[in-house]
Amino acid sequence: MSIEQILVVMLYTLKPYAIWIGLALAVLVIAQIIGLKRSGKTCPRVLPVSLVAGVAAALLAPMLTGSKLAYVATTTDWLALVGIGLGTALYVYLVLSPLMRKG
Amino acid sequence: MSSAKTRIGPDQSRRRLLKLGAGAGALSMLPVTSALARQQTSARIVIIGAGAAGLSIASRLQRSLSGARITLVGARQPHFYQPGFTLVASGLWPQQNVVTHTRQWVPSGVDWIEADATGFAPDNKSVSLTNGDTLNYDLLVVATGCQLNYSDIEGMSSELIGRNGIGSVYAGPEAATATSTAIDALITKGEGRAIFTLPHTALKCAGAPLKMTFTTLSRLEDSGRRDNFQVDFFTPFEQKVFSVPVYNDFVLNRWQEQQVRLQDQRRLTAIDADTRTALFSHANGTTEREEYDFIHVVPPMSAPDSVRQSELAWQEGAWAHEWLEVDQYTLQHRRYPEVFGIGDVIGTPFGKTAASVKKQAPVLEENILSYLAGQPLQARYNGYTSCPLITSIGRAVLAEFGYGGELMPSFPFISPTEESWAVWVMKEKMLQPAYYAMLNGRV
Repeated sequence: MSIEQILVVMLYTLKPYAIWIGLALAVLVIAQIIGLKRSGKTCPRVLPVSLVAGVAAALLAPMLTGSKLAYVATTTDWLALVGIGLGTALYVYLVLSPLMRKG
Repeated sequence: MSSAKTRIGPDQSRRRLLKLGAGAGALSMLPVTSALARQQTSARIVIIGAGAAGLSIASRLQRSLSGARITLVGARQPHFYQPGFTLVASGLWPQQNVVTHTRQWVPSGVDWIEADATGFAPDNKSVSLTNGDTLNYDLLVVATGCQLNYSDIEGMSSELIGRNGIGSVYAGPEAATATSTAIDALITKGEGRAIFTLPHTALKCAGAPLKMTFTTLSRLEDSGRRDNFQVDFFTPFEQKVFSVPVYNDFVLNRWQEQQVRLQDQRRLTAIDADTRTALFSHANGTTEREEYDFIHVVPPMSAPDSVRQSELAWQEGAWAHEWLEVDQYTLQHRRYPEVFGIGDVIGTPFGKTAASVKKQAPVLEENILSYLAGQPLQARYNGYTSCPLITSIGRAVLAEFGYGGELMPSFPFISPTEESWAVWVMKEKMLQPAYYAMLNGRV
């Protein structure tokens, strides 16, 4: 498949989830806006919470897709799982860090 | 010296007109202008079959031709995402997930006649329909799909699916749901014998009978009582359940590990639903009587009777009077150059999956454009067939292959022989969107 075709398929795949993606983006933007009004350092607990959320997401992803963690076997599988974990951790950090500023 | 004018018949006259019109648009074949120009033609194009193949080629032709009169013929109003049937029959998807309306996919500018073909007269370039109409064409695309010949099995009909332990994933969404219910009943019973079958003919999605076996095994294992069930797979072939050796060997080895008994060289010939008994004819000429608690019936398949009983079917060879005769590379009919085929109806060594249609459609589009322009047909279909072979609920192997059984992986990061969670996710989440993009002619 060409890159263009892959992108078309991704668009068709994400279309049913457009509302959820929009909601997630809205939460992110709102968190940033709220954070603009706050000053101070980010609460030190945000990072470990984000990492825990990322690990939880990675561990739950197979089950949420009707599969099992035991079936994560190939390099691609593991990379996908790591990507899900990192992506979730990053998102949680970006949402929480502006909201949980000290001072 | 006298000059003799040669009279040309209306057919030749029309063909020249089509070429002239198409020729003017031939410039659109150049890369620079292809994005801007559609090929001009006044051709009457009839596409028989409004399923995945018919809709895909209709979308493509409607986009790449200007002036063509494209008519799509197909009686069924619901459109079925057939690759989802195994997920429905395995209890993973509700049946509404696989049903949309055909109208949703018919491209604007294409006429849709809600009828089926009853007969083809290719010498007259006409096709008769169930509504009594006769359509004439300049170019015909046969995209009728497969006919499920349940009646070739004595005592069997599609009405029996879901009753007395009979399942069959192919007959439609309701049949798939009924199959899942029948499997649930087997599991609830706590013990029994499950038989899975394979026909002696070519079939669409040759992986489906195997997937049903694997997902049922999954469900039996999850019940904690797998040991109480006997699972048998009956195949008419010798030590073969799949055409591609690497996948055949994988499946047979896995089934050996999972204690599935392979009963080869046996063909299902009759069913007695009341007594839950099936008759199998062995290659050695004997008939064996097998009792079951659940049986998954895969019917023999062929092109629809309107095709197989016409001049368009192969007239000799292994596919004689069974499938549409086309060149396996160009998809053009071998005797009627204005006739083309796509999808499950074509008599080629491989190519009866939705993924095959995804590869056939652009080849067919390009060759039809070439034909209308009077140019040689350059595009080639390599037999690409793909089957995300579910080996357990939650993992699958992305089997991709073409003519000669050559493996044809699409993605360098997905092994064509390894079971993978990612392939399962692809099957469960991404293939249906890709399919709908195909119906729209986008991929």
